[in-house]
Amino acid sequence: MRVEKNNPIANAIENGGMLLAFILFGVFLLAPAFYVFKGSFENLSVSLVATDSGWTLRNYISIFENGYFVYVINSLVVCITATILACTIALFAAYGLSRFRFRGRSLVFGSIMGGQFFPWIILVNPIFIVFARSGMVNSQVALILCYTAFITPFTIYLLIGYLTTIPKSLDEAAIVDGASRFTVVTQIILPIIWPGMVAAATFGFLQSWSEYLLVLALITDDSLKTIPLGLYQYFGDVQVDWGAVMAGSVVATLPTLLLFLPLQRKLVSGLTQGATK
Amino acid sequence: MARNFGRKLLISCAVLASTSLSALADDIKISFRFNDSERKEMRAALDEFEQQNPGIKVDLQTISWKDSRDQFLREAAVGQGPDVVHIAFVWTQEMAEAEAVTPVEELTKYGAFSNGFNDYIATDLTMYDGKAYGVPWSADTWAMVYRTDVLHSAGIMDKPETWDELKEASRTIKEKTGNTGFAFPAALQVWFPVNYYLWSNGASFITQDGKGGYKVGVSKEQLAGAMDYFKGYVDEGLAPRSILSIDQPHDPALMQALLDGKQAMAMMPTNTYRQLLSAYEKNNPGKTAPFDSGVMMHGTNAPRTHLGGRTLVVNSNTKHPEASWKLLQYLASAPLFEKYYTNQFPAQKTLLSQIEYRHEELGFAEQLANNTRTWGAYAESGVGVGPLWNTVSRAFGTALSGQESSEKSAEKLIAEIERMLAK
Amino acid sequence: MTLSPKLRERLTIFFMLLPTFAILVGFYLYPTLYNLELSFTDITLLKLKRGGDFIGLANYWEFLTSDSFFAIAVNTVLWLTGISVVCRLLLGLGFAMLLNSQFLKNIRMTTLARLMLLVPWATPPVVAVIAWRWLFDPTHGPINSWLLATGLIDDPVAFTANLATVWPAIITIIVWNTTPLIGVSLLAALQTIPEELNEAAAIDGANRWQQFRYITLPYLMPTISVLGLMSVIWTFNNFVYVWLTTGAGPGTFTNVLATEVYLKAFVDLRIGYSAAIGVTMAVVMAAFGALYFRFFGLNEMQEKVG
Repeated sequence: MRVEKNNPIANAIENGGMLLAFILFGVFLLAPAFYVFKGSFENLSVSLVATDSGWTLRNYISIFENGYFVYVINSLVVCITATILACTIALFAAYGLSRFRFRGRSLVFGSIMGGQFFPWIILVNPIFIVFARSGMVNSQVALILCYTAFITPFTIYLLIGYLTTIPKSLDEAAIVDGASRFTVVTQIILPIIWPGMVAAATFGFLQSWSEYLLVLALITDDSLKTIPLGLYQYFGDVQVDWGAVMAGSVVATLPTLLLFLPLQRKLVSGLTQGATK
Repeated sequence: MARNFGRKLLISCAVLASTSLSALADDIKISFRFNDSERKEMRAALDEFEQQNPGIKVDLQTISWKDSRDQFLREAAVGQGPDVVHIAFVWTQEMAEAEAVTPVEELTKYGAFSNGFNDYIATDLTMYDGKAYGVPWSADTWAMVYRTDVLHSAGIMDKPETWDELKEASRTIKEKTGNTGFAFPAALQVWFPVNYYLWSNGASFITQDGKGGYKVGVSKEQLAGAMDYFKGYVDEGLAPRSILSIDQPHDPALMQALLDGKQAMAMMPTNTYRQLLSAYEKNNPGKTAPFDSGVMMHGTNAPRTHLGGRTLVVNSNTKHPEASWKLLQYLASAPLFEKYYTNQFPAQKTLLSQIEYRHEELGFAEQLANNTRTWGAYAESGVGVGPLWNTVSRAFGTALSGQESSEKSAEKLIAEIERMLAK
Repeated sequence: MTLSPKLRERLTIFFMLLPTFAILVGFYLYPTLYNLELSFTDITLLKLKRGGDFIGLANYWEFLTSDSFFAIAVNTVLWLTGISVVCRLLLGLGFAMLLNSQFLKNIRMTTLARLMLLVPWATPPVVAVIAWRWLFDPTHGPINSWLLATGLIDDPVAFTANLATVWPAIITIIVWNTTPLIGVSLLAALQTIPEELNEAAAIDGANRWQQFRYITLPYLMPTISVLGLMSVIWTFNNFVYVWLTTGAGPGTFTNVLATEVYLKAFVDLRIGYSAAIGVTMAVVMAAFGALYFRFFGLNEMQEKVG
């Protein structure tokens, strides 16, 4: 075995194979995004054929003239608010669940897990009816509440995993020193599990960012629509505007990509600690 | 000084707010849900309406057609939704059944029709329980579209007239030029060609049974035959297999093949044809579009296509029935179709007779004027066009893709329609 | 005001969990119960205003005995969930091993590789489907152009219309969009394996495979099993990929439980019937979750639950 390891030919073959695998992975990962990006700057005719070579901003101009910018703002407002809300709620819930033993605890934990078993698609009608009866159709508040509820269970789950790695003695010491539980959570726990929070927040943001069915049911006012609805409208019933679809896709992906880039390291550590510990 | 200014600013803001609030309070705000792509044009039309009717403000909403049916039903059931709604002809009865829309007779007290309700076409589709529930707005149907230069290059000078000739011509085109002859959307909207095929061969999914009831109007053999007919295009390689996942005739792949001269024949609704012509003219400035239209294929009987179109309805929950009715009447007036909504044909006999067609569109004019029928028994039997459409399209999908044999698929489809009729 | 410490503690727990309770009750428990009630009625969207009639288990019976049930179950369990999750785990493991290799570190490619993984990960599923539909396009798509150019095929393949290729096509999209998460998580787990373990094994004469089999894999197993569980749950209930790629077609060939729910509820308007399918799905998932916990013995997790 060890002889083989020092054999230059075997080494070269192995490294070559790895390089090939790396390139193949790279192509697989990047090609789809590359083609969408390229298409968004081309003059596309009815189908995806470029009518002439050369770059154009036409697709971007046309989607922003159509109010796509408003959708981007709405998406940002709704998703960021929902993510912050969900993370705050989840932080306290996860703390409570991981630090206290009380009757009904396993029931609560079970329902949090169970919340992920249920197909959301089936809850669209009941949720719509509840909000509509209370006059909350075309309301961003309703959408924010829905998304908060939508992402909270998984956030709690991630954070619990994280919190169990923090020794209880840490907060007990602070309690003895006279700190309240609230202070413990915000001043001691939060800084430690910050990477976990970041990971959970990114997750929640990504999930709500591409949600379609609830926003479809709850929002019909053009000025309140979000990106997924905006993107779908280019797959019109009477025509498909591929140029707009491509440009809209790039704009829809950019914020999440920009969010991921600086966070990637935190994301990895937060996720694995949370999900697997 | 600064403080004083701040106070002044505050007061003037408050005054401004209260005046604008009172202005808002005087205005009646209604909303119109319009689902076609002509949003800019429609907004301009609504601006004109607002000028003509001071005190009424109209909010324009859009939602895609595929989501609009269930969305409006949901909204109406809980007392919500836009005031005036743009729906398909064939949904009117189910909207009435769901108590989502206001009967027309309750609205005519705010103003009568200029040419009477009978001037509208397809009013039978708006009737539920003896009352009309909507006003037909635009009419359309499907007809054949030909790319004449591709036909000629394969030596075909006369357009096919029967379904068999259509397939024969497709074979000739494939052999001589390698191009596609006839291709069609074989997923969701296979519903249309399939019905045209059956109707022109004396069959129909549902017919009257002569005893005041309804029955399945197609035999298993006929149905399997229809499936095999359309399946043949895919299996023989006359049309690309990719049509199995194409829902609509305006799908980019179909449109592009026609534009590039790689496909000779298709069938589509009027507005799709108009888009095709304008796309060609945009890509080939100054050239005459080598397209022509014609009536649907014959079978053993004369060709028939469906009389389709859109209805305008007033939400049963509206707080402003009078303003809504004013808007509806404005939308159905001649100037709207002449100035703003020019891609559509008005669903009124008087207005239809005044239209001047382009030469390339004569096939559509002929089809619409003399060769259409309504869905008839599909709607009257209570099964409803929507549910039947979905069931049929899925069944044809399973047969055309080879997921099941035509016989098996036909047998299942008939059993399913019988189940729907029994309900 | 003085409260006894015990009461204070209880109040603290109560307030910390209150918002979560509210969410669980308002957005999960209530709609679920409402949904359960609907599943015993013949309610449709047309009858929403008047309410449906109680028909007992008829919806469940109709669904479980329908012609399409078997096909839908196989599609959901085998194709959508089973094969796609296995592909994801294998490919994710491959990514992770590659990214963790000394070779990639030597040629300074690890950062680039991590950035590459971010692209599919950050792509919303809708956009992922759009991108791949274009790659798969039979007339102009790059994959067909490439296959034609290399002579591997003579005629364009309609990937999403052909019965033989449609499932692999859908799975490719899912794998592309979801593998990075798995790869990155496994990579992080790999990096926690002490290097001495492998070195010691190598000295003892273990070959690469043996090292992988007896050291790496056991080390990764907890991560893999959790990722597997999560992936199964997410995918089983997912409707976006199948619906946007094929609309459950051609015909009903790729119909899965989630798209059947959508078709019945939003296209055929049968709310009661689709509710019954939804309840069935939830029951299946709950049973799966319970079995999974039992067999994989996720001790730490059970500790948390208990």
